[in-house]
Amino acid sequence: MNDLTSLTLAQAREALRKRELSALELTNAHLSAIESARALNAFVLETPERAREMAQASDARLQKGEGGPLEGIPLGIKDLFCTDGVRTTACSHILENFVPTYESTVTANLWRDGAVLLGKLNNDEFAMGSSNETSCFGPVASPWRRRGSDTKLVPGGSSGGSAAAVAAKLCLGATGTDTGGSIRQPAAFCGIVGLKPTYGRCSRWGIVAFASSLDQAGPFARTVRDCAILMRSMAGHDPKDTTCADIAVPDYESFIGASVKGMRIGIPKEYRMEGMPPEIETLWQRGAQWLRDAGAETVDISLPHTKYALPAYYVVAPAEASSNLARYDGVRYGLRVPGSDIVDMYENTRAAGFGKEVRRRIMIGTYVLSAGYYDAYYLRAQKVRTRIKRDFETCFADGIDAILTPTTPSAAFGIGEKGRGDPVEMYLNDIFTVTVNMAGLPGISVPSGLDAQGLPLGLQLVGRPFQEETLFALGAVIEQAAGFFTPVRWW
Amino acid sequence: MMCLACEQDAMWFAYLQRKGLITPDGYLVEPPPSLADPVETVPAPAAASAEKPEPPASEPADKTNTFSCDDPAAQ
Repeated sequence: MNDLTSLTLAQAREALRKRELSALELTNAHLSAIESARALNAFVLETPERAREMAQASDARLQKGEGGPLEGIPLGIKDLFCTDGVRTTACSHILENFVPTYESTVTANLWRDGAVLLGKLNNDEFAMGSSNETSCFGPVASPWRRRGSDTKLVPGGSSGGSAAAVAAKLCLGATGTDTGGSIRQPAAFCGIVGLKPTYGRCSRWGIVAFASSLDQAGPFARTVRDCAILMRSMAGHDPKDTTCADIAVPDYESFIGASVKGMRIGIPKEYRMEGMPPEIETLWQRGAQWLRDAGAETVDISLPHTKYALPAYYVVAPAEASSNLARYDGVRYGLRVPGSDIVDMYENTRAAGFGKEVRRRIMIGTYVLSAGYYDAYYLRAQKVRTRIKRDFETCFADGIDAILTPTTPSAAFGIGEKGRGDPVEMYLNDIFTVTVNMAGLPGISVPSGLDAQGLPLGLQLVGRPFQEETLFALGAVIEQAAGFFTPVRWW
Repeated sequence: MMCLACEQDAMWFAYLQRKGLITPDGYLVEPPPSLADPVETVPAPAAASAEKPEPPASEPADKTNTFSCDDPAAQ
C-alpha cells in the first residue's frame, strides 16, 4: 500500500482490521513524515520508541482478532494533556522539565481504545494565544502558504501544532483543547475539521488548566467521520472531573450521512462584521445554501449580546487563569529560580518561567478579581456571560437545531503580522468562537472553501448542549458539498 | 508609559468605541447589567431535548444529567 499517511483514519482502521497493513507500518510511515516535517515545528516531543512499542502491541491484538475502535491508529497529542512518563510542558518554560506520573483521562481513553502516541504537539503557552506564536518552543508554521508567496503563515492557535500536524499528514488525528476557539480557529486556518464538545462532554482531568469554566478537549481530523470516530473514544463520564457529565456517549459515526431534512439552522445577523472579507460572507451564504439543498431550513436569528462577548471573555478567562496558574510557584512543579527569600524565589521563578502573554493575562486576571474591582469587572462579565448563554437558549427554545457562522473573520495571517502593538487585534480572531465557550455549547469547524489567495476558510456549526451528533450530521453535508482541501507540500 | 491596567482599559475603550458601543464621552450606549441580573458562574448546559437526526442505530441518551460543578456557590 502506497503513501500510508494519505489514508483517512477510517480507511486506516479498515485496512488494519483486514490486516492489509500493520500498525507498525502505519506508525513508521507517520514517524518518517514527522522527521521530514521538522520545519513546521508542529511536534515539541517525538516518541518513536513508545510509538513502535504501542504499534507492536496493537498488531498483536489485531492478530488475535481483538483490538479497540482505534487499534493501531497513530495520533498526536497537544502538549497540554498530561501523559504518564512523557514530558508535558504546556509549551511553557515554567514546566520545561515536567514529566507527569499520571495520564489525562482523555488520552487514557484513547490508549484504552488502541491508539498509538506519536508525540506531543506544539501550542500557545498554557493555550493562551490564537496563532501559536507564544509557545516557548517557537511558532508553528502552517503547512499552507498564500499562492505565489513563501511567507510563513500561522496555523492558528492555541492548538496550532495539532492542526498543522493533521493538515500536513503527520498523524491521522490529534487532540486539542478549546477555551475560546483554540480548536475551531486552527482547524479553519489549516483546512481540517475540529470539534469543541459541550462543556462537560470530555473530562478535563489531567489537562493543564487555563480557564476551568471554559476549557474543553476535542478532536482534530481531516474528515468529519474521523472526528466522530475520535470523539467517541475521547468523551465519557469521569468521576475525577466533577463537571464531567454522566450522559451516554452516542455512536457519533453513525450520524454521518444521516438526514438533516427539516432541521432549522439559525443565521445570526450579529455575526455580519464590518470589515469582514466579502469572500467569507459569500462562503457563509453558500454554506447555508448547501444545508438548504440537503433539506434543512435556514432562519434569520438574533444573538444580541454577541458584541459584548469578546471583552467579557477577556475578563473571565484571565481571572480563571490567574487562579489556575498560581500553583506554578517554583515549589512543586518545573522551574525554580532561586531568590533571597521565598517571596523573591516566587517572583524570580514566575518572571522567568512565564512568557509575556501569560504574564499579561495573570496580571489582568488578578486585577479584575481584586477587592474594589471585582464587581466592576468580573461580576459584570459573568452577567454578560449569562446573557450570552440566554441568547442561545432563546434560539434553541424557538426550535433552532443549530447555528451556522463563519469560524473566523479572516484566513490565516503571516507569523509576526498581528498583535504586536495591540493584543485586541489578535483577540479579534476569536470573535465568532468565544460566545460558544461562554455558553458551554458544542461547535464544529468544517473546511468549506479557499480564499482568493488559496488559503482555507471554515464554517462553524453551533449545536444544542450534548448534541454533537447533530453537528456531525450537518458537518458531513457541508463537507460533501465543499470537498477536501490539502496544502501543497513546501517543507 | 501606561501600567498594564490602564493599557487594558485603553485597548478595550478603543474596541468599544470602534464597535459603536460607547458614546464619544465614554458612556455605554446600552445600560450595563445591573446587580440584580442573574449570574451563572459555570455554563452548566442542561441536556436539551431537541430533535436529533435519525441515525441507522444509536444508543438512547441518558436523561439523567448529574452535571455538577466544584464551586459550592454555583447554582
